[in-house]
Amino acid sequence: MNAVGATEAAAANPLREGSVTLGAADPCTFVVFGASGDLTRRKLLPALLALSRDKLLHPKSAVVGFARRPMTDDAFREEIRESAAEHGIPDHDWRRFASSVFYRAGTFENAADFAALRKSLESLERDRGTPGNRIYYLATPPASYEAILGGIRSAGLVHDAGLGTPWSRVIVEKPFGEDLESARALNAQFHAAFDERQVFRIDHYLGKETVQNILVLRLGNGIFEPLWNSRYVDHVQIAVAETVGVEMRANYYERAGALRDILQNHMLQLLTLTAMEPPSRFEADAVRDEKVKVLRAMTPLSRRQVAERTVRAQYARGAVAGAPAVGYREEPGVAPDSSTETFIAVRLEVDNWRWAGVPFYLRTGKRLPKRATEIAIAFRQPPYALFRSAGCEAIESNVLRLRIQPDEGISLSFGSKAPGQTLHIDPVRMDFNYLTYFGADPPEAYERLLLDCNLGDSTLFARRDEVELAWEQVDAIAAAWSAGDGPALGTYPAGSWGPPETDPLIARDGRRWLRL
Amino acid sequence: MTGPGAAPIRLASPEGDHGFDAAALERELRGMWKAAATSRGSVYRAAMANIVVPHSPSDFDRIGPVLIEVTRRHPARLFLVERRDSAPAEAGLRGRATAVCHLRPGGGGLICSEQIAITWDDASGPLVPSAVASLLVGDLPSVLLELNRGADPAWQEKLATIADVRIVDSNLAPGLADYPAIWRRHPGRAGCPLHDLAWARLTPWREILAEAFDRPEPARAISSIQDLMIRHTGAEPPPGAWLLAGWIASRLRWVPRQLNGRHIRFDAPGRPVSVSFEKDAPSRGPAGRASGGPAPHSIVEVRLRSGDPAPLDLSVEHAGHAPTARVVMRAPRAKERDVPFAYRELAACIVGEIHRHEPNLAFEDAARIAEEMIALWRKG
Repeated sequence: MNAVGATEAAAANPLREGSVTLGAADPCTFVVFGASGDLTRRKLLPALLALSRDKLLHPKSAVVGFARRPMTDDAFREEIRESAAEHGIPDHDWRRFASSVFYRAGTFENAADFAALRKSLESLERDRGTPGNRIYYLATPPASYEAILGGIRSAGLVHDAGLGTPWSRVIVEKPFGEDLESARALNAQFHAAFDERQVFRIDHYLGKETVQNILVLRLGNGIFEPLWNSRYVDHVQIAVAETVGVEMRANYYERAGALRDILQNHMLQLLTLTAMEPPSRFEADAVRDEKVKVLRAMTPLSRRQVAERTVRAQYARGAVAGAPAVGYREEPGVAPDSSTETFIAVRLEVDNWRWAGVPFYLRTGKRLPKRATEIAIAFRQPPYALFRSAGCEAIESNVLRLRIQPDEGISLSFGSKAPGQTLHIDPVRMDFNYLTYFGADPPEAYERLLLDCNLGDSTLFARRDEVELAWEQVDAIAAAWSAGDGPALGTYPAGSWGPPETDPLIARDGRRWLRL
Repeated sequence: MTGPGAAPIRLASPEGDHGFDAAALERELRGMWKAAATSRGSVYRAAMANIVVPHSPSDFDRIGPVLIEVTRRHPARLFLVERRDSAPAEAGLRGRATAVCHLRPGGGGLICSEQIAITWDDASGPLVPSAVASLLVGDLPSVLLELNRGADPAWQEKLATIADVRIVDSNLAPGLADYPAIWRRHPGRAGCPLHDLAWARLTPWREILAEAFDRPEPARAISSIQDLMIRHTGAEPPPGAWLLAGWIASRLRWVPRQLNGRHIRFDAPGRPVSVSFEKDAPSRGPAGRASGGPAPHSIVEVRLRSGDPAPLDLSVEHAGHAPTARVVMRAPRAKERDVPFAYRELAACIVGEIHRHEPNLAFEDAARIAEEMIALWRKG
């Protein structure tokens, strides 16, 4: 749902005027493939439960889990109960939700299991009096996508992509491929079963309130957008810092590394939202068109540029957040001679009218000192250092920080005269904090994204061309690294801010990394 | 309730003390603010800095009230890093989230500073820097405030690498031999500017001395000073006395050469200069005046003398918390006057140094010469 959509709806239906939503969510069956997995337990079911509790799902909506492991409906419901308890959701909310939850065991490769699933869904929809709207959620490793999509297609589980009901949609989790070629192949698999309008590619960062607030801050306020260009912005820093190591994902992470796991999706999404032009309308394709234009304006790095503008490294032993941490190569499932990067820093440019000459410095890594995701807009210094004569040589640049997580909020730093008889300029900040201002935590990203999918709004989901253009950027870096043209793989102690080479990457431009 | 003496209001997470978990502590702080916002009306969570304070339990009685006053003047996320006597049930790092709130001046709500207490034992001490780093508020300056009296654990130096400003108090060092080791932590060696509270306390002395030489008669004598005497409390010259001598020497380009008895001989352009330190006699001078008495480790008199062609005998006397100092000129003509002496309590000194983000070059020059003087003194 969005503002323009609401205006259009109000024009068609005067009673909608002033309404904050486009309408209630359609009754729908959420079919979760990989229902016994970690993502389902940790994120999807709590999100669906919260939506149900908040009366944002249609009461006739249902959830059907589908996975290999044999399990009864009640056993599945019990798993949800445990998950609900972990998330502090009261038992009575679970009870109300549990009666709408079902489980079907089956293998993704067996067409008969998909045929049985179809019968179950049709029976359930008849019983519940729903029109047959379905959201298929692929909460499985990508290796299973082909089999699941084949099963869905062969069992005739997809309704036409028309605007009416019943409708069918599919949600897929990142990674959307491992490179451009595999992403194209994956997209072809999806398009064999679904129309692009039915495909909802989740990058959960886009569901975060603070990410959505990037556009509100820029485009909903009069003071920022006039400054949002190369005339006033000196550079942009985007950081995604994690304290965790590879955990139980070594099998995936060894192939992906920080480049594919974080930069290709989360970080380039943050970059495009920061750099995009205002869309003509606040609706899915208008927003995504502008994001795509940003990616098109970024020329993939040449091999020489990869050598000069990227840093990659792996964490070694150290201490993070008060606990000893082993090195990456000592992690279970990681090859002792692994060359997978757990840290990357890169300098990118957006070659268009607005951003010419403004570097975008991106850095992300695992086992860094703290968990933090933020976008920092560093503004240019004033043209004349008026206060130099008073001994104030180095006044810090104004920095607008958009804190995505944790401690969600926005701060603006600026120089202020410190109280006293002498002229002393102190950096101070104005701070907006979601929690202290609104008195509540922002909702979970998955809640927003599942609801949007239910409502058919794909604004916060990645489109095919976005994904493929992002891979073009990443493939250029990966290819140079593979060819030995890139920087050598460095190491950094767990708990530090990356390898020593990270500082020169930005220092040679006369800048420094902002502390997170 | 709004002044320095007002009792603060404390908030505490119901989870209390537990094994260190950065995410849990952040959650507890968030929970505290959520609860406070709904139950207490206007509660403002404020932070202008991260302040990291390593200390021992015995230090805390002394520095606890100072820290409360520091956060009243300069709201901050305060990290209280405390050594704990190891007990089997409490091994490892432990953490606790609390907050200290002050009524806003004029009423209308509470201004609260978060406090994260981290306790450590011998085995877990080296993990402290990573624990602190995980909870720093990123876009605020970080201050390492070293007010601990005991020997610093080796890993404390690592805390300096995550700080933007390091504040020490050389007055707390056990003895003369330890002052240089503290001053040597200045930038280029530890990576962040070092500010010594012993130096900060000299500010009014330096202001008054500088102002004295703005006047024509002393100004004529500045390049012919031959003798500097600093009178101090305590058995040995305190850090401030060395720093003040170092400051004057560095400004006037005196170079320390040798110790003669209790005098240090400097080479100055065209002449030798003698610098001496004298213990204050309880019965004499300004220390005996009704001013709360002299503080330990304090300077009570600075006297400068020069000979021809511009004779001068000038002293500045001050004791305790007195609001004025006496400037006594005996030559070229006798004259006395009282001048304001901007004495600052410890918390005010600390906040003043928190505001100072750039390296303090005057202090560094003074400390370098003070170190050379101490080396001569100890050889003697």
